[in-house]
Amino acid sequence: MSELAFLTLAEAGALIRAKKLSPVEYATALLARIERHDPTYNAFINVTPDIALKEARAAEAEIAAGRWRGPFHGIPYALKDIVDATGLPTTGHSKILIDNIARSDAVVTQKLRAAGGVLLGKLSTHEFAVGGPSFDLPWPPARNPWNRDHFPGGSSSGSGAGLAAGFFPAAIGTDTGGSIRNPASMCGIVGFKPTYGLVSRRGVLPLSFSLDHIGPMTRTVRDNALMLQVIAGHDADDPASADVGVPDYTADLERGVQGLKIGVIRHFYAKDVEADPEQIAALDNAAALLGKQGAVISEITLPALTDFSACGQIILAAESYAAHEPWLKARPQDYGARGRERLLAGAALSAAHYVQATRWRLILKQQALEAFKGIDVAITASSMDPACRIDDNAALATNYWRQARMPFNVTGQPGLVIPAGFARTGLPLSIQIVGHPFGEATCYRVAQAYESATAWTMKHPVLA
Amino acid sequence: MTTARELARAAGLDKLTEEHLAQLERAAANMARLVARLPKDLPAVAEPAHIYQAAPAKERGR
Repeated sequence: MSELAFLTLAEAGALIRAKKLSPVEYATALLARIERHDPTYNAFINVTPDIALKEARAAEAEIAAGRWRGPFHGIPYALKDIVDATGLPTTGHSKILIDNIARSDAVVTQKLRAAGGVLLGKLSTHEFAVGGPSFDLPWPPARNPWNRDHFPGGSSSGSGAGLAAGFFPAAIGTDTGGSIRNPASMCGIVGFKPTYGLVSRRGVLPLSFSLDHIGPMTRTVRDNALMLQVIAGHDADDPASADVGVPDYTADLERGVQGLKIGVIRHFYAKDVEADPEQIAALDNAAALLGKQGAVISEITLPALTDFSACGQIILAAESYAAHEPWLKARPQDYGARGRERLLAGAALSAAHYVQATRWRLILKQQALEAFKGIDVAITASSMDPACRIDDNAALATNYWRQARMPFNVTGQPGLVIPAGFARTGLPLSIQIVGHPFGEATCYRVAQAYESATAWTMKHPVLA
Repeated sequence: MTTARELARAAGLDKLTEEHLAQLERAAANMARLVARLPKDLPAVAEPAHIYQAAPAKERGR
């Protein structure tokens, strides 16, 4: 059972293609694991066994008939519950949308279905991807499989928790100020916020239109590249979608880092916001390891982390308030306390504040891209600390600040988070690899070199 | 100093309870700290990050 639970997407895909693994048996095994363990971890809002088994049977029949669609054919996955799947509720983990049934698939859902994926269900999130963890919503918050008393990160909390728990090998997350990368850090999995515009946002509940990103969450780097390959691409009906080509993200995975120029944004975690010593050591060790493998390591300087955070939070507050204003006026009592407080913030901003923040954003982006000239990728922190207790309100309040993820929502650059060891408490540590716009393949190349040298992604929690 | 109640009234947030108003007050204080960090010396010509375009790039200039 645990062998199937922690198969990688790449391994499962190869076994399915070779007809050594039945998609139906695979999905059935994972559904049984979810039924047994999810009441402890709350990764799911809605498990969809009927859909899963129907899609698994279809995949099995197609492959038996010689119509293999690709590495995602027969692979179980799950969707953060702000992503539409036809006929299923998209609740945003909120009472506000408890009866909201999606009339069509989001573009990412369409693409995963077309690739032959097997949908296991919809996943917990912070309310509307902004307010959490919360105990005053219709569903409980997800728990961290490494220690269920601890925060799994958010807002793609069910995606991170379910991957770490071995419920599925692939999930969709979204990231407006770090919501893919935070659960990746907290749960010890691989999460990628791709370049703004690479993955269509259509069919996903908006939080902050100019900061929202959709991305893949997996347990390994290769799996992440395989999943991004499926969901990336231009969508003429998403006004933010970029009309760029999609390269083969696995082509350079094993090329190593010899000769690559890697900038370390150390001031983010050693000066601007001082990270936990174990997290700093993990980052310094990662830089040293990549240097030993032949990368050219140097320090680079961007604008202060606190500037990026302030700029991004003002834009997020203004845009999310615009999206939620009708509900905040009509049904404020139907939000959870954390979501309501975060969303009300936009009422305190003027039009000029928002425009000034967007003008500042352009300057910060230009300064960041200038700092990236002469390097291939940068590494820096994602979270400054391992996961705090889920009931530690003071630590949770600082979670939104003690991170270096928002800078790359502001600039739109790709940010990939991978595990980088464990704290003495047994909770995961992480690093973030940041690329040039549309430089996802180079991020993967560096991440694969680090993963191969450390094998942190092969460690899994023992479930309660 | 605008109170949370005045802020709510101006925004048309008429259904906020006392608990919600306390939340709005905290949220507004947090936003004020962020707004204070906005640069005061932006060049007059500095554009916003997203610029309205009347037509897609490929259709402009026809």
